[in-house]
Amino acid sequence: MYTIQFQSVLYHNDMKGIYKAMDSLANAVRVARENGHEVRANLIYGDSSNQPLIDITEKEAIQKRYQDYMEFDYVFFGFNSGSAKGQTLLAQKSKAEYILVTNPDVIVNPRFLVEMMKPFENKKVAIVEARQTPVEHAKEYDIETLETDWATGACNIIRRNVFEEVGYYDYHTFFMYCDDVDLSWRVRLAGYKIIYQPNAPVYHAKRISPAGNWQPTSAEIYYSAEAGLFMAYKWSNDEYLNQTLEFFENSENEEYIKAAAEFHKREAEGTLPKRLDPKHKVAKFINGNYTDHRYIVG
Amino acid sequence: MKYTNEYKNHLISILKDIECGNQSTGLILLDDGYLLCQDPFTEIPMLYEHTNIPEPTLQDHIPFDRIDWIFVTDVLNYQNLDDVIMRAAKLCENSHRKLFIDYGNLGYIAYALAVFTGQGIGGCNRSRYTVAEMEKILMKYGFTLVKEFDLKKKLDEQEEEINQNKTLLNEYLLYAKQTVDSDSDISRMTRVYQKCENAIQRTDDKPFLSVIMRTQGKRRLELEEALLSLYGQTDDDFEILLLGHNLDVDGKAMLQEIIDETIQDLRKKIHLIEVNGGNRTTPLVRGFEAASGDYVAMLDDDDIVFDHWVETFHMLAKEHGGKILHTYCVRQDWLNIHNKYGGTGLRATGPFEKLYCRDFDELLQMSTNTCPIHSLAFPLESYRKYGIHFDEQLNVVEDWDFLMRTSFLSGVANAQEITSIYRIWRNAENSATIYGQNVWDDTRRYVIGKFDQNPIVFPKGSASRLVKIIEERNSKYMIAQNEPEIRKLWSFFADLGDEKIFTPERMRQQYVTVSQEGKFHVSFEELQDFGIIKRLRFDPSEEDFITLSDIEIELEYEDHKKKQLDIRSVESNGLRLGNRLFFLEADPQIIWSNPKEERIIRATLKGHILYDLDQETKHSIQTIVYDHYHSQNKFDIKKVFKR
Repeated sequence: MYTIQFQSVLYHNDMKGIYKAMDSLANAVRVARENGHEVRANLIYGDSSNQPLIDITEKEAIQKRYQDYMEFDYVFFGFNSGSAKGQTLLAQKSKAEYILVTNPDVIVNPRFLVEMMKPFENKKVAIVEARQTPVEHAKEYDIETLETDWATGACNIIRRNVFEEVGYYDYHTFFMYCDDVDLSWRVRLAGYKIIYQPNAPVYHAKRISPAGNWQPTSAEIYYSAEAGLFMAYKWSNDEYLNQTLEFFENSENEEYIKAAAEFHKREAEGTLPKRLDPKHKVAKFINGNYTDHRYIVG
Repeated sequence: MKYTNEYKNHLISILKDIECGNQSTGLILLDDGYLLCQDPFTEIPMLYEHTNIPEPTLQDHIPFDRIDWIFVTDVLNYQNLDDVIMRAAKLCENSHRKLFIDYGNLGYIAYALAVFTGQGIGGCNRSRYTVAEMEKILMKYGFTLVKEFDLKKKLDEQEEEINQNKTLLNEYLLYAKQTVDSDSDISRMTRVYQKCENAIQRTDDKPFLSVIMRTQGKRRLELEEALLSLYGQTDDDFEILLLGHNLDVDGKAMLQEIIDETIQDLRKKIHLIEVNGGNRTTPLVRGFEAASGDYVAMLDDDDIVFDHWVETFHMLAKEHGGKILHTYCVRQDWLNIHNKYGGTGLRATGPFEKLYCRDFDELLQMSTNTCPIHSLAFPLESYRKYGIHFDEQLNVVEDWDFLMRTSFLSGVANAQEITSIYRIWRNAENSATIYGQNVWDDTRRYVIGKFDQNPIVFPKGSASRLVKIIEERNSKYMIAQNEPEIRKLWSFFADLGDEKIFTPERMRQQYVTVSQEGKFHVSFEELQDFGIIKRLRFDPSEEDFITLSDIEIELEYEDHKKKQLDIRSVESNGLRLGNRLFFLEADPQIIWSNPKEERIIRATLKGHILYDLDQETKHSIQTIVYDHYHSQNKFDIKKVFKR
């Protein structure tokens, strides 16, 4: 028997996609039980939209819709929390043994829980990451052990006690990107393992342009750039930090320039994070990535 | 038509066949009344002789309870067929009466072509309706077919009737007409119908898209993932026909388990159809037969689609209804991996390759298929009405054959959206590995032979493209004959680490001279204009079967310091064996990363390159690659490769 909290942060999402995601979670609970799992689940959404996406009537309707499979709750934050803070606030409320941290539009496979819970038989495993489809993340993992250097926040299950032990997400530093890398490395510094589960596909809708590459938004470019600088600083990689700062400051890209400025601002204010892993036992910076990659996307 | 004695005798034999003898009584429906017919054997044929035709009279006292037959024919006068059949339906309601209809087919090939070309038909055909129209009217009023005696003309009779001259236009029109109208050989529709009181009314409640998915029940996780990608669609207007082909007991059980575990909203869209026997084409045939959507798309049980796959087809259909719909597709290498948690996990091992990110090219497609099956949706009409079916004799390229034969009539509309991924399994069997090169070559020749059987129409703009292809071919031939060197157009792309990676804005092109021995040496200058280049990509051609060897690049920076790199640090979409790179697919690419965060002013490449390999060498390379992947005893590639 185990308890698990499914949680996600909403931000102006299309509810049709959210219902598909919720239906898939409920179905995963059903299939898990049919395969012998004694699982008690609850789903909670934290909403950082400008206006609530779910009113009381709809909340009650959702509770009724899924009552056979999971309890449902909803919290309107009233501010734009970002994923790191939002997920932390939701996790802090929970008493469940496991927390599923996921994007709200991720659709899980029917056998999601059946496959994702298998690695947790090893007590040293703290996080299990699902395989995203149609665009699988290119980061490397060991084919034999399935160990990987970090788990994406798009969809992973973490032991709640470990989440708490390492202090949840560092939302003071990271708004949207690299919060998951940072958490993963702290988990590994604490002696735990992270497993990538290729048997558990989850559908995370992404599209690529006819040139065959990503189409990131302006916000995504900015927050990714900013996060990269804070990662380099926090994880004690001065060479990478200085190279990146120079590149950003000489760039014509507005988001890069803005990211560099934000770093210097925090530097001046003394609000940069405490530095970790000076001997680089865990942290890796490889060609702009945080682990080896199987291939170059694009 | 002339109602000859021959036709009169034909009618009499039909009337005898349906026991419409002089014991029967019938009503011949006219626009404004009836003709009572008490001796069908005699009176009906007389109508066709246009002799002794009784005056049409309005009958006040029709002995309806003794009427056995209702006759509808175009012999006497023009009729509004809808009104006539409606009256016939009332007369046949709740009774034993049958309807005999004998009507000329406006769509008969001789008439259709004569009208099309302006020659006319001399007023000899009174019909204003095609068979399809008449069937629709009859169905509308609840009539079902009892027996058919259509007057069909054989091909040589048709050709004799229409063959005023043997122009290419006539030849094409004949082919097109026969293809689009399966009733085109019917000169007269002569049938018996009965009113069916519980006739099933057709509804419009059918999906936009029927998704046909073949499976042999052996790839569980791949199938689950394919279904997951369908559940993630933004447009839910589709059904899934899951065709279980040659299922064993375990496969059948597995499929049922997957369906039972599927989310309910998706589960209700799935129809499982078991197909036994035949080859890989057979399930497609069965799927098309069972489909009810306006369009049909095909997915194998290991394909995955982006969330706007259905949406893009739907949007394209709204503007280009009736055409084949084509979207872009990327290719990606994958592996099946067995891990400690059981089952088979799936692992992507390469980036997206944009081999199939191009519009459908009618001319190029005659030689090579660049459209994976799941990048296409076919109008079901072309299958049902035009009779264009899959060729079940084919074990390979069945999709290409079907695509081209349909495109010759339907045409193709394109959306420049990448909506699907074609997964290549590097450690699993597929048709590329099961069948040898000779099967592929023989089948290709056979399919092209089929294309040759009929005239083909190409879209506007094809003439100038054909001229260009011929001129380039002639030019290449002249160069090969008269000059010791050839010139090839290379492309260079700069990646600056931003979102405009490898786009036309970051491209340069240059002709490269290659000696007869394949030696080349090329410099791309003034690259500092791009800024700090992260990666440099070179495309030596658009062709397939290129080999590169002994390649080196020298990068010169703004401080005039130089850095040499060789094949050991290159990335490519080819296969590296020793100091050679083989590109078995079109659009070869080689990429070096810039080892310094500094501006490059010049990149100079040199090495050897082979183009235009002969068939024997191509076959040797393919065999070597196949054996290299599948052999338990890996051998030294360099020793066995022969030029």
